[in-house]
Amino acid sequence: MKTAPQPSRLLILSESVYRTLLVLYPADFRQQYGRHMTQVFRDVCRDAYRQGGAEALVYWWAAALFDLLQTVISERRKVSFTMSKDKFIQWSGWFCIFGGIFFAASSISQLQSGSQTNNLSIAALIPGMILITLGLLGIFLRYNAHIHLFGRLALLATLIGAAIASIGWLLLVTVGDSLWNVFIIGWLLYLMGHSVFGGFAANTHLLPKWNFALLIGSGLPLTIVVLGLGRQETASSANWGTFAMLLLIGIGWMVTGWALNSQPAASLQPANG
Amino acid sequence: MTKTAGSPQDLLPLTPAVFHILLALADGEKHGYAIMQEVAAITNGEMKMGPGTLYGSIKRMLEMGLIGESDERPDPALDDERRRYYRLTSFGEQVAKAESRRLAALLHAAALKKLIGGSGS
Repeated sequence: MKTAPQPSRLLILSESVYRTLLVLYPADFRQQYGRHMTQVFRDVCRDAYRQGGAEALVYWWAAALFDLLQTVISERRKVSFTMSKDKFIQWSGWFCIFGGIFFAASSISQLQSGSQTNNLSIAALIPGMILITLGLLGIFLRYNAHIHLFGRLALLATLIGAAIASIGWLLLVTVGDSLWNVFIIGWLLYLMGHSVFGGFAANTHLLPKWNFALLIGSGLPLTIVVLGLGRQETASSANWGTFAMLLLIGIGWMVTGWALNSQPAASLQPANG
Repeated sequence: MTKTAGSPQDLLPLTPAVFHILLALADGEKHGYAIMQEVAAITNGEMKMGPGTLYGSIKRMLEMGLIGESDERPDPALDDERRRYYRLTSFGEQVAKAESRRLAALLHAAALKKLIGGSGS
């Protein structure tokens, strides 16, 4: 019989992941407030779990992630850090890696049973998509000279898809399951744009190495299989399919980020041929 | 480094997060989580600050001299971990009062225009 994870383990895991994410803040801010932020995060996790179980914990996580993304940007701006084009490009590899980690984390939740599985999965998926969108923008800025109209249109589709999927998620949380289709439409557009852009990257050797990773990260073929299985109401197969799809996308993005980081921004020479 | 503004009016209007933190500290010093709970309580749960917003605001408020840090000590109601407490400075109190007066004047204007309360004149 499958047993639910122990509450204390969930809380410990939540705290560790949050503490790791604090690395995104400027070092000075993190040193001054990191410990206290983790303390507060843990306090809220504990109370949320006590009052509403795993579902309340998922909602808190979603809120905390948006708060983190929002305040990371504002704190970095405040320390007179102007996110110049070069800096943004330099960061794009890390955006991809962290985005991939969120996707991989999202895949793991598919192996757990329970009504909160989808919520947990989507909660991790949204920051993953936002980070990957930032990563794609970094790729665009980095290799602008080598992306022609076809690649740009694919990138635009990816960005619009990510925005629709994010809005769909918010509607899903606030209004209900009836708006699941909005998320799916955004998600498909995102994956299609990503697949085309990935194919373009592989064809033109856009990245310094491992150009296949962008294509693997798209996961579109598996998505179609997963949606097909879902339609046939084979819930168990669909969960395994979703697990494989999200894990593949996560790995694809982590490898892409690694490839981008292997080329120092200072010595950027658009790879071609 | 603290850089206190010339007069409380120089800082108005305050951001919602800063004003809520000032309100939370008006009746005594509190640590971060207690501030979050107090803000949620005085807004009937409508305003829920995340740790980033809370400590980002605290950092700015310390720099502006609105609040000060007290010693670190555990909160017996929670656990035995040491927590940093924050208190309102006299300048912070002046700013909170000035913002409250500003908001009260706005509410009065809204009431005169029968936008709230049902009594117009």
